[in-house]
Amino acid sequence: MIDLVIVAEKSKYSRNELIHYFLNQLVDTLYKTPFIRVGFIVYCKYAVPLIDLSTEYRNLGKIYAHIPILRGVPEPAKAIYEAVEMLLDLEDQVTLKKKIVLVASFIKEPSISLEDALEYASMNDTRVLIIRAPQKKTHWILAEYEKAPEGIYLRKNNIPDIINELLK
Amino acid sequence: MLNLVYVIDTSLSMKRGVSDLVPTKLEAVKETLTIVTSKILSNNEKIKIGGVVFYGYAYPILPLTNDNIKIIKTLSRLRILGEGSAPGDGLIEAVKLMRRSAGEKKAIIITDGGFNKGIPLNIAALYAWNSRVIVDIVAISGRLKDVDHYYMDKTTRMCSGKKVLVNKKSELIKALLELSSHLGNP
Repeated sequence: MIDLVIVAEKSKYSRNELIHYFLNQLVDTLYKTPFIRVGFIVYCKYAVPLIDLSTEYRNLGKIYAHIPILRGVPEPAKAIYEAVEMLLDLEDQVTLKKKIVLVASFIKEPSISLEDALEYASMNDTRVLIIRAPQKKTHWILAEYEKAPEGIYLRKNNIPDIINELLK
Repeated sequence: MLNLVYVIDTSLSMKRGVSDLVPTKLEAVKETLTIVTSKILSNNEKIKIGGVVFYGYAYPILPLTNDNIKIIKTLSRLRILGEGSAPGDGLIEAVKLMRRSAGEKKAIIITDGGFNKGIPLNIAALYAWNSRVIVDIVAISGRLKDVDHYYMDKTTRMCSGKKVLVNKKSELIKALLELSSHLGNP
């Protein structure tokens, strides 16, 4: 069983319609993939868990659309910690792989270290795939992710590639 | 199995008394919960009770248990924790407490309003709704604002719960006894 937590920003800095489209595409693909549980967290200044890890995640896109644009400076690290907590809390004997997909704008520099949060996820055997979906040019991102495959820009035409990468 | 989590407001405003909820609203809540939890545990062996507190932040204070001594000890330690009121964060902590539990799930928020911090209650309610948690709210009247009512009404409607306004100790006991004993319709 793969346990996957999708962590999506919803702020004035992120491309929310594109993220919504991506989430719908992702859910359609995941639903055809056996042995996968999905959790869902939306964040900006706060991280809000919305769906605990389960095989019932069909409405994920609708839920994202329903959430208003959240205020404040996005804190992706908070969302990563929340996702790791969810993975640890709900882990069981059938869990083989743990993954997090982080969809972030990276336009504003957060106050909580994302690097530390990613390290914490890694220490808990969790791979984090980072996808960037900013409204405008990104002014801040961890240097090591600037060119790395984990720092993929979200575009309509590369969504199938991102989903393939995620399911590897 | 029924899982029940009380989400208790420990913000500064709970330090004041109102009507016969004295010497403070929080002390009256503590006293009432001690009576109510003892009664419902003696009537129902298949119930587990947990606790969360909130002010500007929120955290769990009691994991799900049916050990009444543990519950009473925890209630006796309740105190005013600080400024701000973040019931949304409190509700999320309550849902997390029940994450791994099977059976029916309910959170009862006890508050005097003034919501001004953290995750908006109606957004936290989405998580409760997705996790099939019924949410009831016992609101102590006196300083409730229109915006508090808006959030509480949205939350209870979404999560198949009830909002009960109380102003006296007898009303508080009645509300908590009723809501703690009946699950409602998820």
